[in-house]
Amino acid sequence: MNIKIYDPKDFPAYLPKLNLLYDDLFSGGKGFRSKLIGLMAQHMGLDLRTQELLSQTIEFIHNASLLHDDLIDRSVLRRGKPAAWNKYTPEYAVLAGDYLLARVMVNLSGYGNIQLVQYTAQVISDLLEGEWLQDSLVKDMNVELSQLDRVHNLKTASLFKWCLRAPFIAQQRNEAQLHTNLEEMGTLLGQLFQRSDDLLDYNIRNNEGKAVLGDLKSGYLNSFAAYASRGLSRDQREKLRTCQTMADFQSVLGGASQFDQHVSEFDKMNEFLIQLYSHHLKTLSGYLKDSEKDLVQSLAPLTDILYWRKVSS
Amino acid sequence: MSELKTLNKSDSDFQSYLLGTFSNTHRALPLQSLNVDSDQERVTFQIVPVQQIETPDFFVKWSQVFKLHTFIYAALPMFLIIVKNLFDGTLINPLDGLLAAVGAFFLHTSLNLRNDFVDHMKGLDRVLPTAGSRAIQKGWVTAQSVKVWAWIYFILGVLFGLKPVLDYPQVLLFVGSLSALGVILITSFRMGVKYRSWTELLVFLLLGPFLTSGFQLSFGAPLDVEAVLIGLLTGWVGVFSLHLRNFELLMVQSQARFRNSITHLGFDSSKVLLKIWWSTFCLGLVLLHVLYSLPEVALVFLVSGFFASFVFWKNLDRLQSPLGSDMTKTLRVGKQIALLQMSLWFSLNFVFLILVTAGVE
Repeated sequence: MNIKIYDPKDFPAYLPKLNLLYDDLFSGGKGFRSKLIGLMAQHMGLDLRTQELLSQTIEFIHNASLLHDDLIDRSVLRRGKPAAWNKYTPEYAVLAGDYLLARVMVNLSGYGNIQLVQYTAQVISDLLEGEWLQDSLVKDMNVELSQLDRVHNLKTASLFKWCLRAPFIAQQRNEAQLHTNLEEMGTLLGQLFQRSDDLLDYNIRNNEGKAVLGDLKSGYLNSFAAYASRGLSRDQREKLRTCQTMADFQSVLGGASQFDQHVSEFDKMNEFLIQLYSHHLKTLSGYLKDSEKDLVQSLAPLTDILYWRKVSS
Repeated sequence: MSELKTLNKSDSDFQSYLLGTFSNTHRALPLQSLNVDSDQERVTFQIVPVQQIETPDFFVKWSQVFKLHTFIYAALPMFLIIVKNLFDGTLINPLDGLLAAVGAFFLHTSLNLRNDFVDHMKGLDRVLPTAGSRAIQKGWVTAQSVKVWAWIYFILGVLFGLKPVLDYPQVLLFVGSLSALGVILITSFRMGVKYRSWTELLVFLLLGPFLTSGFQLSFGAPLDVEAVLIGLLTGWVGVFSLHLRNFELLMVQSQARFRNSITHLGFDSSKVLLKIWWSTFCLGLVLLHVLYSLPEVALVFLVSGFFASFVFWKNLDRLQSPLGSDMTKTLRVGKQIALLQMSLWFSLNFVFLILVTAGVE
């Protein structure tokens, strides 16, 4: 499936630099969100054209957020290559992100489902609100996990919610309780993904070899750090700013065994979220047609993939 | 692993789970949702055996259930009215005054409890992280028992207020108004009246001029400007506390489309509102004591008000986001300075009380 081109007017040939930028951006990504759309489409019997549109939409929004995010964070690498703002210019990165969002609106509105357009616009708005709020938390060494959860619900979970809800909206199945259920499931997937991603920063289940302590060195206390540092004194929290190695971080927490204890408690807390996700998944079954019931089984392993970082089959 | 259960309003056992009457051995704890504008008629509960619920010690538990920390907002105005009337020699019927005070505390408790009950039943406690005492949400008590206690305290409040009302029917004007407002407060609207824009006026009247005027009348003393002024200030600081709370929840309340002054004004203008509100309170305190007390006392309030305002303004100026630790710190400072000024007001009047009782001129 070519998610880059849905409509012939996407990525016109007379904009070579834009095309180069997107080729860089799209290569190397796992495309997890479009795969989730594919999973939903397969069980719900969505036609290929709709699936293409939804897949393109979610990948475009996601990649637009990455273009903007990298610039805001001044991250020099994306998927192992120079970030767009770094390789081209910050101005190009902003324009490229804006272009993706504009194409989303052009293609979606052409599809003719106003609820889908409205919901997608709301998700983009949530995403930007989350980005805005997250930026205000940089350098805040006293931020609380509950506050980060609200940001992540806007910034990360909104895309997972979209993947779950949009296929139903495309089929004009708009029952309020079905969507409340999907909304909760998306929130949980987003939280679990974000928390697991934050653990990578502390070298936990870091199979991808992600750079360690990147968030902390940028002055950002992520969800695990906020959880582990609760109860630390003001002085101890200030020391977090100067951590350069895992040993430094563990030392602020009281040693390696304390660190392990925090990881174990953090996992236990998140196991409850996984349990809650499974519960909502069972509830979802009640809203599905008989021919769609297998969707529940297909969505069940997502928590293993997103939180425990088990490789999908 | 604990059991989870999702119920819709249309389910026959929905109410019994919300009320906590579905079982004697288990509690149904409603789970918080980050999706604040979702359908509120569908609730997911965590079903926990009563023995597994962690409960704090007796005092902490009940002080939280009854929200003892809010009693200062009712206790201070009544104490100030007692001292004032003692000083003026207008404590004509102390027994009625005492009964009215006890009745007011019972009504205050009843309102707190009823408020928590309504928050729980309407689903506010599932979207607002700090709504209510959290006692029902944590499983310390059931919603049903909170509802029953609210009625018991309400009846006790009415009974204690009966004699003062019979002796001084004009008290009824205020008690009646208070009761009517209270009934509206605890019964109406889908999301509870306290998330309506005119809640602030209700709180202002309930903790302010209605309380001080009604209480003064219950002593048999005539109504006067000083009692009303005291009420204006205590009501004002009560609303200040409400503004602070709404400011803390600005993001969530805006997402949930609650209407109040803070959500109407937004982040930056609310900072200005808080500055003006607080400074007006401090200046009002000075003015009250210029008019009715010693100049030295007015000077004390001028200095303390200046100091408190300086600290509060500085924190507000530094605040850049509705989330984060700066917000937590600013709110803590706001609560502390309010408590400081109220404690000072109480302490100085307490000294007056001792002096008057000792017969010092």
